[in-house]
Amino acid sequence: MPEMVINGINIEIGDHKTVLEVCRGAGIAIPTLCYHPALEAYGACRLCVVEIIAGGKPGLAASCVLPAVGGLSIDTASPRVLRARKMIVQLLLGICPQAEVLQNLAAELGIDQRVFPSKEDKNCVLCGLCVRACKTIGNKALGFAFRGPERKVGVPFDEQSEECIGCQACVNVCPVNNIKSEQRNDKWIIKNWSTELTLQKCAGCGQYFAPTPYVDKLNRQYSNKEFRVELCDHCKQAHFAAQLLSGCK
Amino acid sequence: MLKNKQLLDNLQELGLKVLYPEQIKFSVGMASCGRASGAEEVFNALREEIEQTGLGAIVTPTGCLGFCQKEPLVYLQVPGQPRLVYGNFNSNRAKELVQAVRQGELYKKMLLGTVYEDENVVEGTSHQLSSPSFVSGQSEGLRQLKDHHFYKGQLKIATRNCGNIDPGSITEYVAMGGYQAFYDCLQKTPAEVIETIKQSGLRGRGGGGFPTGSKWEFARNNVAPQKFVICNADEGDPGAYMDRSILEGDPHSVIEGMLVGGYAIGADTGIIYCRAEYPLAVETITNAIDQARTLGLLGRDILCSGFSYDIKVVKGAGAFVCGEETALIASIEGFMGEPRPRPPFPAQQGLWGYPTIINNVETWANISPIICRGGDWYAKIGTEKSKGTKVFALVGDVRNNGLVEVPMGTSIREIVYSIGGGTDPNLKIKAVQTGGPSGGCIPEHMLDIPVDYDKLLEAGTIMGSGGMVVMNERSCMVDVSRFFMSFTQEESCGKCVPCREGTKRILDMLEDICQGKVSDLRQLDLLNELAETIKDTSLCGLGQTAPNPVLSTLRHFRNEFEAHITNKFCSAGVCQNLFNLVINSDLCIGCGLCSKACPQAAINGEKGNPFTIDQELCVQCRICVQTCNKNAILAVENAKRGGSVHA
Repeated sequence: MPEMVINGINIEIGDHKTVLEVCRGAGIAIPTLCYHPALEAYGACRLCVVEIIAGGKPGLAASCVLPAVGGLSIDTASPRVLRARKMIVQLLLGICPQAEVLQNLAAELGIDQRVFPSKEDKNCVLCGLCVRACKTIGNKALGFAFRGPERKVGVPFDEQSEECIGCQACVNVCPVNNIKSEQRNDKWIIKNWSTELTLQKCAGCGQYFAPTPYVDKLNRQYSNKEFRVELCDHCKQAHFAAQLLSGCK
Repeated sequence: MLKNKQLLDNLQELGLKVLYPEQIKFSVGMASCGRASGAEEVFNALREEIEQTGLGAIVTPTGCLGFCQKEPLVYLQVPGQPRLVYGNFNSNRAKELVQAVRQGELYKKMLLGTVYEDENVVEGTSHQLSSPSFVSGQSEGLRQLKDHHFYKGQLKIATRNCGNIDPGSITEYVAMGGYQAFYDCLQKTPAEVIETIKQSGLRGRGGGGFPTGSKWEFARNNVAPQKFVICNADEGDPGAYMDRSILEGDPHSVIEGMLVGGYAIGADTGIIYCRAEYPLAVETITNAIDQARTLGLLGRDILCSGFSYDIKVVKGAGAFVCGEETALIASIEGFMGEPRPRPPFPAQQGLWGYPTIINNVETWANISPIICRGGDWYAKIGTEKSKGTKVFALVGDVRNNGLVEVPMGTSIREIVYSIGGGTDPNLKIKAVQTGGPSGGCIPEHMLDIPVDYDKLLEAGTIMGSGGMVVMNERSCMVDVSRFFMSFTQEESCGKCVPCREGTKRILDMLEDICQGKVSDLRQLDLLNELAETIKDTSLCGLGQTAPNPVLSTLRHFRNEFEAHITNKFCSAGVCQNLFNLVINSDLCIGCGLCSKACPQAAINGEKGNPFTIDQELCVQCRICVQTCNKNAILAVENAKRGGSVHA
């Protein structure tokens, strides 16, 4: 089995594809912000940098996109790595000072003072998790617009999205809790995407439970199964419990 | 095969007749640079005057000979006589020239030099225009163009045909040995072609300097049903225009290079990615592709060899980051121009996932001579690890602006002082910036370093694509780094954190220093640390090199940064409010030019006596500094701001 050297210790690569996966598999902590195991790696936050000692181009590399190959030797916490991570966290704190995830990272890295004054109105670290989650789970409603410091995430022209199905994947995956959504009467409102969706009533209790386009998409997706989405979580539980009980008799 | 050799031979014969006609021929440099200086008017004036006077002569357009300072350039070729090259032409002079030719007189106004023979770089031969002993009473004492100090140190390989042939004529290109290299390749195996390129030691001219032969070999060894060849014509460095000049002056050299590359790696499609801001380049290359296709040099079963290949032009929207190869590929695929992590490299998985080689325009233009004259011939030119020649766009505070092609190993001092003619004689050169926004500044005392990928890297800059900006004492190095940072932070795609947030922070800090808002010298350590982190951690080449202008100026000109912070003084007199302008009474001759030019009426005095500047009225616009012929106006420390009081 091919092995690589992490912090001086030989570790089997196994089925892992990237250095980050090998490290996490071996219980070695590496901070990440734009990485999610269920989504395509993106390599943008650069927090996961490690130093290549041998077996590759010497220098820092983002471990989430660095292929794990036999003979590679890396250091996950060299002075150069830590210096870079600290500076990146400082840069992120400059745009998202309130984010818990960043404050925790700063504490872990021993940052006690911020060096960059904060900028207003930016609560997004542009990690792109929401864009990739929407592409993978949702309905490809999100994308990036503009470039450089102007870059932002959004739906086309910041108008009511024709694609958004209100699945909430973006809301749940956001590491800085920046995406806000709420129910107002029979509408589900996602403020960041200027989008309003009609809610569907549960066939059991009659309460609103999910945006209609989302329910429709799921029903299309499972159309070949003997299963339809029409109940809220509560009624679904009751329904399956009743089925289970009747089976026991 | 013989039949197809015949095609090239016939074209060559035809081309030589057009290139060296048996009648008088005028040519005008009609590349973008020439047109900007009025070449079209000169061209039309020549045509009209010839028509009116009935002089049996033709007028043809040609590319740029590189001497941009002297544009528009006009060439006069009388059969049997040396070619005459004129600079700074206009329509009046054009009329005078035609009259002079009619009367058989030698027109000496604005004559730059004479050309006795044209070198055919591809074949290693030369074409005599006139015997070297041609001395008519009139031409005595005329300087040959190759002895002009601007051309003396130059060696033209990539720009061999620019300014010599009509870029719209495929026959003239073939007359200069064109498509011979491609024909030679068809007689060889692809592996042999790659071996020749490897032997030559050619490295990518786009900036990275990766060995071209090795890149081709990787792509060749990757087995795939489809492969692509891309020409990167997304030249975006401020002040650099080598690639545009080649596309506008010699488009077929790029097409032929791409044909050779396609044959070598086994591709059947080539794509030229050119920025839409280069409309003339796009038009010229598109016409050239059509011509090559009409003659069967592109398309199916080229020259009955069984090899099929075609080229398309894709226009880019002008984002600087699209010069990065993975962002360029994304852009061609129709996505946002954003880089992705490498590996996989494009030679493994490039355009639409297929093996792809990407080289820039200048690299492609070098291919044909290498194939025809051999890798050994090319490898003899240059230094140990940097072979061949490099084209530079020599701009800034230098007397001869223009495109210069020099052998690798030429010292920057020679380029700036001998070819470029130095700067204003009253002023000293302070630094030379190479590599555009990705490069760094070399201070005057280090200018003896040779043009060489590795030596430039050691000095804290890069070869880059060939921008070379000369700066004299009137440039503030803090302001220069601020300028380049404002460029990169705007052109950053914004994908990765260090490049997006970091470059913006550096720009903010530099702006504060330029405005005198920084009083703590420790800010320089933070600046350095931040710059090092961006270099270390950015995703693509743009971010990895973006801090170079700051790092190199911090390294070589730290005293200027410190003066801005501690003394609130900009000695170059650039950063407003950080200096006062005063007139040196020892140098002032009291001509009063400055007083006339001052928009604030702040300069007063009596003619013949030294003038003075009213500090209350002066807004530091520096118009007087540029007006003064005696260099008598100086920037001095602002007494009110002196010291480190200001927060």
